Amino acid sequence: MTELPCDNLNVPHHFDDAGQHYDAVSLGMWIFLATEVMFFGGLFTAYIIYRMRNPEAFAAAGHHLYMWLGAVNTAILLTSSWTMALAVHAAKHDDRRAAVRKLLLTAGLGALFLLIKAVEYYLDAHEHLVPGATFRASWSQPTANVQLFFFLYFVMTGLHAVHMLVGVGVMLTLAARASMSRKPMRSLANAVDMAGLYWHFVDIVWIFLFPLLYLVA
Amino acid sequence: MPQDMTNPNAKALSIYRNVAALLGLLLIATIVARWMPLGRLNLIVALAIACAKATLVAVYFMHLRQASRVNRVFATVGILWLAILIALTLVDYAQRG
Repeated sequence: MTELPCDNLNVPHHFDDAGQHYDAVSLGMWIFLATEVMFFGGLFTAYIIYRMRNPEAFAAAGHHLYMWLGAVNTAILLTSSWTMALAVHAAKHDDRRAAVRKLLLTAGLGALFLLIKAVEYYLDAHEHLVPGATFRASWSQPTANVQLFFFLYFVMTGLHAVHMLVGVGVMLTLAARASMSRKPMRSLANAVDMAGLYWHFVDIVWIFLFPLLYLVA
Repeated sequence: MPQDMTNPNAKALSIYRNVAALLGLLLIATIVARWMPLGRLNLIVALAIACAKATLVAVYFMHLRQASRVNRVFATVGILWLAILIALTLVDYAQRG
């Protein structure tokens, strides 16, 4: 590992030192992220199969999403990954002020993403694009496959939004803990680091959702 | 790299800034590519850009570059299992006709 501040402050007694503690914590996080890859992976697989079977319906349906809202949201998430990386950096370098500010900034950008997503869902619902009895797509005659696209769209972006909601909660909790704690900031560095791994993972999921859902040619 | 050796702090921060800028450029590229008449290549271009973005985030923001070997194995294995899932499902559907 790179030079983490290797004082043995706040290392639980069952670890030899801070380095071993970090290895254990980060391995646990990467295992969790591998399970998350499979969680989202099932949906991505379903998307690939149904898109291959109904290319025209998916292309027609994709045109009815708000591409620019999706693009703005992508920019917001990419920026939030940057601020998250800066928060981890600040926490490791024991800079409490910067860490708290970057955590709050990350949470704020996450909240902005969710707000835009909510507006988008509202507009979609307004156009009767929510699958179910009220679904209407006058621009396509057999609507079943178009509905399939919107079903996948709502489940995939919905599951992603739930992850974002959890992430925003984690960032706010960490910011509160960091600003109230009397211990040195770097005693929270591992927690901030692991929250960062989760946040970046959720960003990566969106990096694939955006072209697949919004840029269907 | 040489001029920054005295200040690893500034070096790390400038790497983050450059990665963020690169991610922004890739986002613009993926939107521009949407209007290019590439036919079926459009999807491949969009996915290639997405893979590049994901790799940048994983390697620099998630510190895979400095991660221990075990962690790198787990990161790779997650993608490998997903590849198996998708590949075998596609084979199954191809057989059904």
